[in-house]
Amino acid sequence: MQRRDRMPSLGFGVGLRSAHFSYVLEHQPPVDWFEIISENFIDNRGWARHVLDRVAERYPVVMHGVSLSIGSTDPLDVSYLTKLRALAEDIRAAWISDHLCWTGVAGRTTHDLLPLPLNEESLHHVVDRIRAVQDFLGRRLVIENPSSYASFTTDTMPEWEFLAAMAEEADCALLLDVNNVYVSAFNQGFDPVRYIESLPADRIAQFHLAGHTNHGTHIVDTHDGHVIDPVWNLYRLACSRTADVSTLIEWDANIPEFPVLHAEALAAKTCAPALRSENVALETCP
Amino acid sequence: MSGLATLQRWMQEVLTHPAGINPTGVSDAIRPSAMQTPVERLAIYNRAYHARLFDAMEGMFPALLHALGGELFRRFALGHLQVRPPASFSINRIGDEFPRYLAETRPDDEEDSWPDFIIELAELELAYLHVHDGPGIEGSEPRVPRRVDVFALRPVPAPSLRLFTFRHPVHRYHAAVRRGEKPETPTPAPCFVAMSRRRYQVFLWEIPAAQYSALKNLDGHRTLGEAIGPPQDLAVLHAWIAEWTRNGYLARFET
Repeated sequence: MQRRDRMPSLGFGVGLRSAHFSYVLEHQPPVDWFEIISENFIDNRGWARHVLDRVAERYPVVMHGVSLSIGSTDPLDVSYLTKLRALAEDIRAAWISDHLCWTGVAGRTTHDLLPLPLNEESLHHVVDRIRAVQDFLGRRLVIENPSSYASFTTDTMPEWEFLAAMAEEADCALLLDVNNVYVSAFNQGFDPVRYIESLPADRIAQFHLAGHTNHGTHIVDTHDGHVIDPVWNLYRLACSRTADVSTLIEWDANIPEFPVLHAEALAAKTCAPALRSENVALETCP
Repeated sequence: MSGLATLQRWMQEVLTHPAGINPTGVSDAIRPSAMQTPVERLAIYNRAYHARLFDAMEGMFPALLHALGGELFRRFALGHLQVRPPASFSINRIGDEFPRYLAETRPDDEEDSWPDFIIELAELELAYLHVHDGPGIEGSEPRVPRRVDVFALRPVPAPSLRLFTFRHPVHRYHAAVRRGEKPETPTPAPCFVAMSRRRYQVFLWEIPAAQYSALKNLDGHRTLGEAIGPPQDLAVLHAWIAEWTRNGYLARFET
């Protein structure tokens, strides 16, 4: 991907959640940008859409989806894509992202981000579908690494190799969820540092940071708390390999007051520029 | 069918099964981790699937959850989801057919009104969600035209207007739960209810039978005189129009 094709740098944002609608409208907090869950707004013509329209007038907005199901063997849902494109045009979305996963098959959905076997068959399948979606939407798609709790006997390559090949062949961008790397590394037993160092840095358009729940035998990506120190460490590593990549804090359960969420984004803000500019000591980060 | 398609169909069947993971064939497809067996790993998805859908359903039907209690609510929700598994891209639509499921599985005992209360409550809560998230009249609220023949007006119902005839005062029960109260199951009492939205808030109004009939007849083509029929009292009509406009029942007036 050429430099001129890179996604714009939006700074440090947070997810726009209904618990904060009134606060955001009233206080217009100094957040760089907001990310929405696309499916929560696509068919909405009520309060949520009203809030989104007001937010989009003032802030850059990114659309993050959970239902594209790019890895499913069902046909692409053209009705969904049509609505996705219309919403993106309405709110002038900076970009559209979703996950490397499948959510359902045979006309059903699980509303979960299910893992794909990491092999050539899946890779070709996903690349073809990303290309088709990008053609339909008329813009480059941003694909996120998922958190996963299972792997397949038919896997033939590590996830970072799959993502790198996918991004290159489909000419899409990557959303590097640093927390997901940590979660999956624990669950799958790979080295998270090697994962981050192996991804094509110039394809990374966005970072996600979030909290999770450690159950001892496995970690679940719950988005219900602060980013933990080992994830901050991985974020530092990711920042050191990239330049001006937009960062977003996800917090979807046990959602705190908006200032707490905003403070988490500001914590990332104190971390990333220092690393980029002077390669300073990492203890300047949370 | 490709290997990936076959795998996905099998995996979806396993992950969504209400009885948990059937271990047959799991080890052939799923690797163990350092601390979990293949079945334990898939069980994470199985638990998450049901927890996510139950949470969503409980959020959509809080009054029904109170009326049924958690255990029975989940039993009904599970039955519904097995008959009509989620198919929409939006998890907010998984309850769209829940009232229908409850009606289809209603016990035959006609003497017992409790099942009807449950079905009516589900219908009300579903409509509440649809009105809350659907189209409204915000930004284009109508004004009552002056110096016109009110009988000749053709009021157009707001897209958020819903009209109900209930055999139980489910609207009062619903309002009480939303206020954080713990109401008892109401005794049957037929009522007419209008649901509307103003300033993005949903309102429920108990209305007289005559108003229900008139509102039901409005379609943007009939005049008010035709919708109401005789006898017609001009003063009453003016009061109704003012009330309907104030309450958000109407989108506009065609003349």
